[in-house]
Amino acid sequence: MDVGRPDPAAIARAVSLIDSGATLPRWREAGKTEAAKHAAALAKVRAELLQAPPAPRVARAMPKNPFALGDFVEVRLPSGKLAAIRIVSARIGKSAGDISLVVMTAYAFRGDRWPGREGLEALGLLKNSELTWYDDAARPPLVWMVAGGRAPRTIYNVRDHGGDVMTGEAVENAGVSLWRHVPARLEAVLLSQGL
Amino acid sequence: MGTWGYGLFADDVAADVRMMYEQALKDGVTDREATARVLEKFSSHISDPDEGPLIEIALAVTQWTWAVPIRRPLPGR
Repeated sequence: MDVGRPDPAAIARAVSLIDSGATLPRWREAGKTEAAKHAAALAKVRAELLQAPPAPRVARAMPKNPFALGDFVEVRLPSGKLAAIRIVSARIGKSAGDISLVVMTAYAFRGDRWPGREGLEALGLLKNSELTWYDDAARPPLVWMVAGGRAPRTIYNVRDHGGDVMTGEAVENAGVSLWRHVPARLEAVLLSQGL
Repeated sequence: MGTWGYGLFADDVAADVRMMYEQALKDGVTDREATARVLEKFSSHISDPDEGPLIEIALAVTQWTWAVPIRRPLPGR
């Protein structure tokens, strides 16, 4: 990746735009106080631009989806016991605003030894639960969903904690930024069902 | 255009510029390609008297933050 100092001309252009008040007209419509607050915020930006830039950073790549469709996944729970999920769908949006999500079915299993595929199928899926985690800090937003005991009708419509139904185009290959939250939440549900 | 504060990036246009640029870098493209993606995406907004300055400032600040140079001039400027 090319890195280096920002182009002085671009910085000068941005400073010039700030100095000319190019962003202020619509704030003046909101009121003098609002315009002054916006101007103060941009003054800080201006001062920053005139300083030496921070050390070049390396963009962290979105992690590749470690799961394949249909995988059985062993989950180590906070208690040390094991749980089991199966990947129903793993998708990530490509454009800003797209929704990404991983849909998992959870099995009615919490134990010390991995029961194997046949054992899991004998135990069956976790009933009467549908959990959704919506990571609004991730870009693009990432949704992890456990659809317990039934396949979701469509993966393009999921309900977040606020009750809003989100829709979006999606393609294969999911990120895993919220995976760290899954074990604790899954164990809480398993325990609530007496497992 | 939506805003939720007084800062530069408390504006959905500026925030989108930054998000798109950073996402492009995370996708593994060069700063040149990241800039091209942003400019292409916002090409129809760059001449807008309200949004144009925001886009230019947001792009410059984002590139400053990532310490990468702007490689080509903005269209129409």
